[in-house]
Amino acid sequence: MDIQVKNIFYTYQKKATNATQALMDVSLEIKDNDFLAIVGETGSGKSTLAQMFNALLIPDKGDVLVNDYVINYKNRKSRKLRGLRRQVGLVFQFPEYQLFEETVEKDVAFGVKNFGIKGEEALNRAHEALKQVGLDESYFKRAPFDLSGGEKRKVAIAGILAINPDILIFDEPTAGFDPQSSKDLMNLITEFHKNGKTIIIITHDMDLVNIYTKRVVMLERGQVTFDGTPNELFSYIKGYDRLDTPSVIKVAEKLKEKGMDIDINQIHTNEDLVEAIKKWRNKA
Amino acid sequence: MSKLEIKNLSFSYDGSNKVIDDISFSVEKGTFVSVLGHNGSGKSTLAKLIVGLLDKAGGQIFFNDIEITDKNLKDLQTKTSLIFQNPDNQFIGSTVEDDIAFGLENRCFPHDQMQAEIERFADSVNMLDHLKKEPINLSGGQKQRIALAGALILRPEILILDEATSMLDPKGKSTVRKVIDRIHKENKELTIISITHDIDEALLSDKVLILNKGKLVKEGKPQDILRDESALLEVKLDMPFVYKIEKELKEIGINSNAETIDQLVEDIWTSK
Repeated sequence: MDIQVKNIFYTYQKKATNATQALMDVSLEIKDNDFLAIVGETGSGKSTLAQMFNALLIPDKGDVLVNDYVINYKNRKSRKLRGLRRQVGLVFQFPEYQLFEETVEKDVAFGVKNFGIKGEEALNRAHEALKQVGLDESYFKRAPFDLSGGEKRKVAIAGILAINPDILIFDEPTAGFDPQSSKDLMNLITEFHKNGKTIIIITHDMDLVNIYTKRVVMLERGQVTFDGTPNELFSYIKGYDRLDTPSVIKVAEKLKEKGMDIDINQIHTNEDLVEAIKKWRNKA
Repeated sequence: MSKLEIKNLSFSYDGSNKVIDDISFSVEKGTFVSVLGHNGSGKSTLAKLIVGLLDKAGGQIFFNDIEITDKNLKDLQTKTSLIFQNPDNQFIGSTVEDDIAFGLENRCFPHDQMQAEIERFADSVNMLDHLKKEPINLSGGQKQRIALAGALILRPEILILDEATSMLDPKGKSTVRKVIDRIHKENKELTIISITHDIDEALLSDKVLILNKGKLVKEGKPQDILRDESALLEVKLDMPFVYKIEKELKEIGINSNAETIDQLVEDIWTSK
């Protein structure tokens, strides 16, 4: 499923004196099966943009096209947009706040039921999604409120996975996750990508961008100011203190400054860095 | 020395699953302790037990050698401040100065001295220029620093941070970290207990506790504990970046015991 964003504008609290213009003339094309990161400092418009993709927010001006769906001001009340939400799953930044059922399995099944899948089938889907995020049978009957913060997050993510959308959007998916859970979740997301899903990740975590994504879009004050590969981004944001260069890139850059012959574009993981150092030593 | 001492502490939410399982440790006054552990290991529960937000199922908590009971719990609570993860959930006042003043007003602090006190603590978190601002106009990092000022103004003896930086952007993280680091250095009497997933942040503390399935499995200096990769892997934690690279470099014949990126780069460069 392709997404096309055409010159959209959005303002919060339009009538208030302190109206905040969150998006200004944003255009963007996201191809089917893209793996894209959206970065930018707090308040740059990342989450606002993401909410346009499943019509939770409607642009004041401009269009968002998701396959056959047209999201714009004129269509804002169209019933058709409901179908869109089954195809575009959005995992919010604090999804754990949205848990409300008595048990974990009921909570995950709730979304599925909303789309007309009933009874046993809904529960089966819920169980499968829970296992995907690493929560086994022992969690199914527990109350969501007794879980830890990270476990609640996993339940909320399972709730979206159970609907099986084509496009998955994650707003800060790993914030508050322990390293193993982060890795597991990112591997799971990578797996979805391989199976044909379009993945959009909103994040501050540049390590995550560097390791997992191929394309990054950066927003600044509601405008797209960068669209390219992670490595291109890291040279673009040098000296920009709102975003952090990954540690592995920092080391590579410092070594390059000292005179090491090292191709920073090839550095994504620790192994890449060590391999480059090895080559340099062998040459020397 | 006065201290916080935890003896055989246990807790369960449902009466059967032990979320905290027979934990004992003590923290000397003025120590900066990081509590690490995977999601669901019991970190936040431990924090809530210490401040009495949850009732323990078993064990004892001593503060300055006095056992905390239902009767004197209030005494401990007035000496403890807790900062949560989400900056939006702890902003109570309508402006920055109202928010910082909230706790003082609750304690009937004399009004004529209040403004000076607010300014002093706003300054200590680098927010003196923002006193009249409303929360909507603040970044996450600024809100967390206001929360810190509001906590410190009550002069706690224990400050507990429950993932206080995990929802912030890099700039927010680093400003809050700097403020915490300075608070630690300037307040020799203040004990800081920081619950975190950020291993690099834990490197800054004096002591690390690692929880796994409700049990305390490791305790010691960060430089020792965070180099023990197999022990960390067992509890699903990662080594700090610098240590990880060092380990991989060892395999190609570069020995480094650096603690920082700059040191590491120097060691690599001179290994040629």
